[in-house]
Amino acid sequence: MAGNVIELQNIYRTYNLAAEPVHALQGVSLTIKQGEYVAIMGTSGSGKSTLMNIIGCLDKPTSGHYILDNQDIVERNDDELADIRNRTIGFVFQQFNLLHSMSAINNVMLPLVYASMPPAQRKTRAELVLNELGLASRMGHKPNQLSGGQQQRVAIARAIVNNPRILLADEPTGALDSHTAKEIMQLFGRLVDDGMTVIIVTHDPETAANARRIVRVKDGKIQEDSATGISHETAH
Amino acid sequence: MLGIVIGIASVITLLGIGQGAKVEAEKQVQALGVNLIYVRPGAANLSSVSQGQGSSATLTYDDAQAIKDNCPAVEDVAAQYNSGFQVQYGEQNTSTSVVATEPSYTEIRNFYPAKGRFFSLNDMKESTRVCVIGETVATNLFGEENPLRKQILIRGELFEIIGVMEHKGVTQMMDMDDQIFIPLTTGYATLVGLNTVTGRSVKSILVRGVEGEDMQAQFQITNLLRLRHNIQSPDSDDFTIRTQSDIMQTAQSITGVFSLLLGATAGISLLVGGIGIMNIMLVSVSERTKEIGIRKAIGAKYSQILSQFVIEAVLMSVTGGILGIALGVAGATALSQLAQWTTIVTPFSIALSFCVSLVIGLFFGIYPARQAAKLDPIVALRSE
Repeated sequence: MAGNVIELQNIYRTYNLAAEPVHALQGVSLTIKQGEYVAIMGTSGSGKSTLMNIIGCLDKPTSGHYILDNQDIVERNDDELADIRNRTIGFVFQQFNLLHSMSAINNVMLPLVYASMPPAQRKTRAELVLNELGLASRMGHKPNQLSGGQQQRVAIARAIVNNPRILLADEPTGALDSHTAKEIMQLFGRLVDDGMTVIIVTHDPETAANARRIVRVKDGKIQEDSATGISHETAH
Repeated sequence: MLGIVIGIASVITLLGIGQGAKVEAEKQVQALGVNLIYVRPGAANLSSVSQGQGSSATLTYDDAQAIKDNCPAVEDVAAQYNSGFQVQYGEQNTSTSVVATEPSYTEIRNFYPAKGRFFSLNDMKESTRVCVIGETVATNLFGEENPLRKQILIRGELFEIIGVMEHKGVTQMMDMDDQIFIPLTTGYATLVGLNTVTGRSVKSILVRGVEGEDMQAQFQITNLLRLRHNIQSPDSDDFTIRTQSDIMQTAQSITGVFSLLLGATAGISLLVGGIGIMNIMLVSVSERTKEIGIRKAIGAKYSQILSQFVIEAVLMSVTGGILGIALGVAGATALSQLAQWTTIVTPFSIALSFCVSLVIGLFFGIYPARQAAKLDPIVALRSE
């Protein structure tokens, strides 16, 4: 079961902006196995956001190969990428990015809408996930009626509702106080224990320390790729 | 959306006015009589000088008799000579149109007395001094008084009123109620006098054709009158024949142009409304760029974003359309109540307006929706 979920082979990404082309990624190769808990670190401008966008299938590499879940991503069109994002990847953002006009449960159901799941099943599935995350009593609330931690948990519920292989979190604790941040990180730990692949993109060493493997990016290249020494609490 | 509301409201109201005008015009033409054919003296071209219809006295009472006796496609004939005269009763006097005609007039014009009777063939034979007055004349001269059996002076000649006509209103720009009817023979004896050249000339001959044989009647009358007036080819007719279907066609083409103009006006306001919808949607797309980015990140496809925004545009436009229909129906009703115009809002025009608002939403929604669906998710997510 511990196959490679993500295989990046010699990825280059060049932006042709204004006068000079910007080389955001310059030959990145990275392999992530099913069930790994990885932190991608780097300062702003290091290329970590570009790397995250490519892993998340929001962007395509200029050259190189990307094999996600045994599928080559590079040749896919926009609609196929949307479908892959919908089924294979769950996104968690720093600013939660919930839709403010919708209640918590409607936010969570949204990926299922795009997956064309029948309405009755959507509701059952979304309720199940929100229950698991301790939000049973908050389902009908709009995001502005929820605390930051609750909003981030709704966002995580939305990310995992469609059973993705990968959870991709961009500075997930950046907008939270340290206590709430800890809760969220514990939640990620539980998801990893349940077999999900979790990738956190952060510049914060404390957040990164929760992961079991840290990939440091600098100047568009991988500078360091190391284990943190934290072992699987429920190691098999 | 206000643009759509106003646009649809004007479509409904203007179509209502157009339809009302059309029905009103048809009603007026129908009111002229049944299978009516007009024969008038004069033609557009008489001895190379253009003269209007009725400008010469080429038709006579004998022509009318001949048409009645000789044309198989003609059912009945009423010759008439009308002229304006001063009419007096006691202190009251009024100026009105006096129509000297035959008893067959009532049936041909579909116009009957409400009180008393019309003059008879016997009155014609005896040239009795009787008259039948229109509703307006009755009101002007008698007010509340009963006019029957009263004596009035028409250009100083004494006449007895034997009937009052029913209300008919205005048809073909002429107030049918502001007339006095006298026997044609009495008219020749007292008011008109005989023309030394043509004898008993008439201003027009009303003919009722046999049902469905308009064309034959027209043909037979033309041949007969050319023969009687001794007109040889290539000389043109010295009379003009107009059938009811000619008049109907004219009326319909006028109301058709009228409706087209109104429709074009309404169409322009709809176009403006559609552009308004497009602008609102473009603003909405740019305000909701972040939302679009989020939706794309969690897996919305191009077509899913596209349909979301198209549906929003259509909903907006259809809501505007429904409001516009309500406003338009109210406007049409108000116009007919306040301005006494005939307006008819048909289910067809409501259905049409609804469909038009739907199509406008679709058409003007597609461009902004495409803009939304084409957004790059990374750029959209980054926006605030």
